[in-house]
Amino acid sequence: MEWYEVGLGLMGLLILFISIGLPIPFALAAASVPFLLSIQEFSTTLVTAELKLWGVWVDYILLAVPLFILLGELIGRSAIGPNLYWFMHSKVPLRGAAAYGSIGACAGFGAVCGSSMVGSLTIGGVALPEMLKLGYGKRLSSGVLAAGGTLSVLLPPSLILLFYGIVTDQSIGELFIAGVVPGIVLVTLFGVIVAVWGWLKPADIPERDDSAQIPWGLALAAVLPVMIIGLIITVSIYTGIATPTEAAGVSCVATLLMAFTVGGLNWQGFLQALRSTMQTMGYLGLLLSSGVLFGFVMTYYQVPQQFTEMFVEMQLSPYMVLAAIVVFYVVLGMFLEPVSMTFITLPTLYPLVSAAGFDLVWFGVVYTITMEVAVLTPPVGLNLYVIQGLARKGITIGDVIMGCLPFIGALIGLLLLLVVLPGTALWLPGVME
Amino acid sequence: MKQALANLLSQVARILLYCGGLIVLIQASWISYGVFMRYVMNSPDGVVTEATALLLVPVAFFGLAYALYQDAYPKVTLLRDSLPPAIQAVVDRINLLIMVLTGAFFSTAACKATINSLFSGSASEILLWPRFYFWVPVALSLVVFTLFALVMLLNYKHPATEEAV
Repeated sequence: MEWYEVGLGLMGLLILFISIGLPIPFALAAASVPFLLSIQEFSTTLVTAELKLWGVWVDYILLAVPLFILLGELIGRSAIGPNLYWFMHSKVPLRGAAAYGSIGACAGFGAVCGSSMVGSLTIGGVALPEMLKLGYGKRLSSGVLAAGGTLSVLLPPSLILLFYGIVTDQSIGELFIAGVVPGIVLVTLFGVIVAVWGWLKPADIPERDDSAQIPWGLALAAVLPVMIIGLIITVSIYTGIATPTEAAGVSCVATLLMAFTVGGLNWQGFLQALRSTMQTMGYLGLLLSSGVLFGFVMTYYQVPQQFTEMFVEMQLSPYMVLAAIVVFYVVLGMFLEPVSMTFITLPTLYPLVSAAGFDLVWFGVVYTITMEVAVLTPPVGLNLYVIQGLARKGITIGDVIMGCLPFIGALIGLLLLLVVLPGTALWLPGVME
Repeated sequence: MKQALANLLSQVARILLYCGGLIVLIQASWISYGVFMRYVMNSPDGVVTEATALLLVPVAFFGLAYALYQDAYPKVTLLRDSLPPAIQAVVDRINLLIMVLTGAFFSTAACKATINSLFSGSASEILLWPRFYFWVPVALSLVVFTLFALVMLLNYKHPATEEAV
């Protein structure tokens, strides 16, 4: 079989399975197995599956995944997130404090949690009812919280950057550090959007927030754990004291201790955090294993190499290639969630990015921002539904989508900034070296 | 009978899930201990990296059946939702059948690996733990998942029918 026949056949089967609603890990495996059987005997195919199952998971770098997931879940089940939000808006004497506080709390939460959905759910769960009660506009409230959750995947630790690093074989530490400055720029842009929103639509932001002041003891119990965990992760990776996996392990233990002692985590919350972590791992376990089988078939027929060569022969400008890839991901992101997209498409597309001459650490940040756009675009924008689910009666999905539009604009603005000034992402890793 | 089997499998899925959770806690503690020994006691733990990486293998599969039980696998249901209920039921059954077949494929590979690992010695060159320590939980998790998916296929009722009941 020719490489393009295999490529089209694999993608055709995959699209068919995904469109009929087959869960993505099974769609990947079911699309791969017929092609595997065309290469090998059934008994050899079983050996291939066995080797791939073992090979993909005996990996110290991948160990950071369950540890960062557990860390985020522990923080999410404790009172640290809600208290962080309460601190951020009740101690900020500004008009629109609850909206700025939401962004600040999402950023703070993002510094300890790598999942955009957990970020939106945790801060949104407490901030959305509060903002609506205080008189903030529905669109502003839902938009700021859905978009705020995406800060979790740009600020370290980020699960998307972690998976990107694994697929493209880039340094996870460098990727995490590369996300810091763009993350701070994004926080600033989100703040500017709230200010401009308040100026254009004054009715959406009340003159003053009549909310209770958080006691200082409670404020410290929220801010200190976030600062300590965030510093353990960032400083240990930045200075080279620990690998990302070690940083994940140590911060996980520190989070567990602080969540129980000062974060108000109870036994039920702890068990829920364990269940959620293992539930996510259950899906990732099969997704990665199936993804590796899919990749094996693609590589056997040299689909990524031939695909890259075909694009190189077209002699498109590097920026044309980049624009095509970004548009592809934004469109695909309307239908697939980021982790699946990473394992299905990235092995084929990243050689193309590399051949176009782009730095793969820089592209990791660009890729992560396109994934952030993906979780905010319908019909499969996870964060949209998370936020709408928090206030089913008060807010329609249309309100959330409309509310997100300016923030999607900020994400696109950040993408352009990264293209014009690649140093936005590459400066800090350069200093680290 | 089928319902009793489904209940039994969901209990086993929950036990496997907590086993996985316990291993993640052990991994986090062991890694922290390794960092402490390296920097504070100046006596690095020589096996922590290898051991915790090997322990990831069962962790990756312990949650499979529970994720199925919770319907937590990511999927795109736009097209399926737009179909009439009778066709939705057919599509759901096809999906469950493919999940059973995929599970059976991976289960067969894992069971074969488990049997081979009984005679293949240690899991790595650094750590002399037998390889089957790691394959047994993987095979068990995959078999439980496959059986669970099969029971779901046999017990299948369209969600609208279930709600009406």
